[in-house]
Amino acid sequence: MIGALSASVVKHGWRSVRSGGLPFFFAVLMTALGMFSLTAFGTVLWNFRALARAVGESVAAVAFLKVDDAAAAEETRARIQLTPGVESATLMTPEEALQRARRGLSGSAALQASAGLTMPWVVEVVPRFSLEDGESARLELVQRIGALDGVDEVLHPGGELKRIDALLRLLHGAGLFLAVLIVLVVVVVVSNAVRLTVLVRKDEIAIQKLVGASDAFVALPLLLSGVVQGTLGAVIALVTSGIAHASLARVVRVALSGALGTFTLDPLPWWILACVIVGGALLGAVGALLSVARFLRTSS
Amino acid sequence: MIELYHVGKVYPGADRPALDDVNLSIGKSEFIILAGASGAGKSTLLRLLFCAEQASSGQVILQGKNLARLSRHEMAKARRSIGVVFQDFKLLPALSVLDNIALALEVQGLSRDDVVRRCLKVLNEVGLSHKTHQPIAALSGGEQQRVAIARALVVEPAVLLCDEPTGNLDAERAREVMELLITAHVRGTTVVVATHDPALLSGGRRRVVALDQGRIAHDAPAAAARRSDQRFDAA
Ligand SMILES: Nc1ncnc2c1ncn2[C@@H]1O[C@H](COP(=O)(O)OP(=O)(O)OP(=O)(O)O)[C@@H](O)[C@H]1O
Ligand SMILES: [Mg+2]
Repeated sequence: MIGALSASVVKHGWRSVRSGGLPFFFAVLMTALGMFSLTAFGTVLWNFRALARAVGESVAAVAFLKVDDAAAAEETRARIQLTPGVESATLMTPEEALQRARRGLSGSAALQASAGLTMPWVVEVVPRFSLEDGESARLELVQRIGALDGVDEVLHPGGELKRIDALLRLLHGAGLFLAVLIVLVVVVVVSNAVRLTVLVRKDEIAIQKLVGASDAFVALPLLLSGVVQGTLGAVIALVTSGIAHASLARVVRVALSGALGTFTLDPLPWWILACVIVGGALLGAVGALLSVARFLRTSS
Repeated sequence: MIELYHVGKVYPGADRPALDDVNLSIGKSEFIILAGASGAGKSTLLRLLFCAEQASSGQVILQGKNLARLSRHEMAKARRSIGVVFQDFKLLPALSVLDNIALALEVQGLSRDDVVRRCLKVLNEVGLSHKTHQPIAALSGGEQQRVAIARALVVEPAVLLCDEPTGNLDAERAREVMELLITAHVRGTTVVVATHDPALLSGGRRRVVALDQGRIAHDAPAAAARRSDQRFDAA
């Protein structure tokens, strides 16, 4: 019974697809276009996050200690290491710190000026990096370390982080906006295509109802045609973005590598791609459902 | 089987009711001819019986169920036990004869094999086996009429409703159609035929209910023919 019913659902669904005509292909095309922009944007965002993580992890804070001997310095280092949010803490003797500082200074004038410079014991702190926590978490950590016994002052080059943070936030916002826009467009376009299909098949549906078709018997083939539109659009989008990625990845690597080390444009992970397909199917179903529900409400 | 109690039907905007205080009781396996002039309310009465319209007043009881109280689901289910032959056939011209008839079984969830087997059987009975895969559009009016009847019969309905089943047929074709209906009746189906063709009024064990301006003008019980005496000559 269920098997036979689903066979007729598929059969009548196929009829719906065939009678969908131009609106059907338009809906598939729009879905593909929308899903393509989403995956393209997603790829950029995904790679930018990876880049941001690399930068974030490379930026260390420097804690100057107010201790006199190596034992006290090591003890303070250990305390810093135990602070939540700290990935690693490395101790430097005043001599090492001075050498490091000298290396950072260029020009002989500055080098001369540093002749009388002495350095305290220093701990280089690499914070544990999380994109979601961002800027404010980093500042909090710096304050927490600054408040520890034996720590004099913490220097933290926050500028780059702040910029990356702002950019990420902007990208996320834009992505969300884009996603909402595309969801709306796909739902509206599929819903219209299904409504036109309903119009084309009006007589057939009326007759189905007269011979005792249930609402489900009428609705499921139409839903199926919506799902087919959404899925087909998503698959086309993925194939096109796969082709686009393959041809662009090398160009991007050549263009961007050097300035930032080796930079590769990674493809999106498989589970995001799977989500795109499921999302396309779901949006198609929702679009179809809107039309079908309205149709069933107004028909007897 | 079918009971109507004080049934009235007023179409929105109409100046007089299409049906007015109709009381009618149709027993199992009766053969009813619903007679009356054009506009008398025959089609309206049939539409009430298969839930295409709701009565404005009174009650319509079909197989013990008050049709006004059916949910959408129950209504769909009730329709599956009723075969209807429409005045305008309501066939899908682009689909084949087989697909048109199959529709009535597909909504019941029968397997494809069962559907095809029963369709071929009923097509054989109405004498259209050779047209199985033809599109409806390629059939003559009389052949389409028989396809419409085949679709109604294929579900082996408890009730068969026919609206002018001989409307645009010549006398010979009309007689063939009536024979199909009589065969269904003999098998135990309750048959209600709306017609203004006087030729159908006489003969056989048929009860004639005449409508006039929405009221029952006259109700003649079936001639007291014995069951063995099956003289179902149509004309
Ligand atoms: N959908 C409708 N809306 C408004 N009035 C209608 C509608 N259907 C029928 N009527 C009116 O109801 C009355 C009965 O119509 P009905 O179709 O039942 O008559 P009938 O006996 O079947 O006639 P015919 O023999 O011509 O088919 C007529 O006056 C008709 O104009
Ligand atoms: Mg009529």
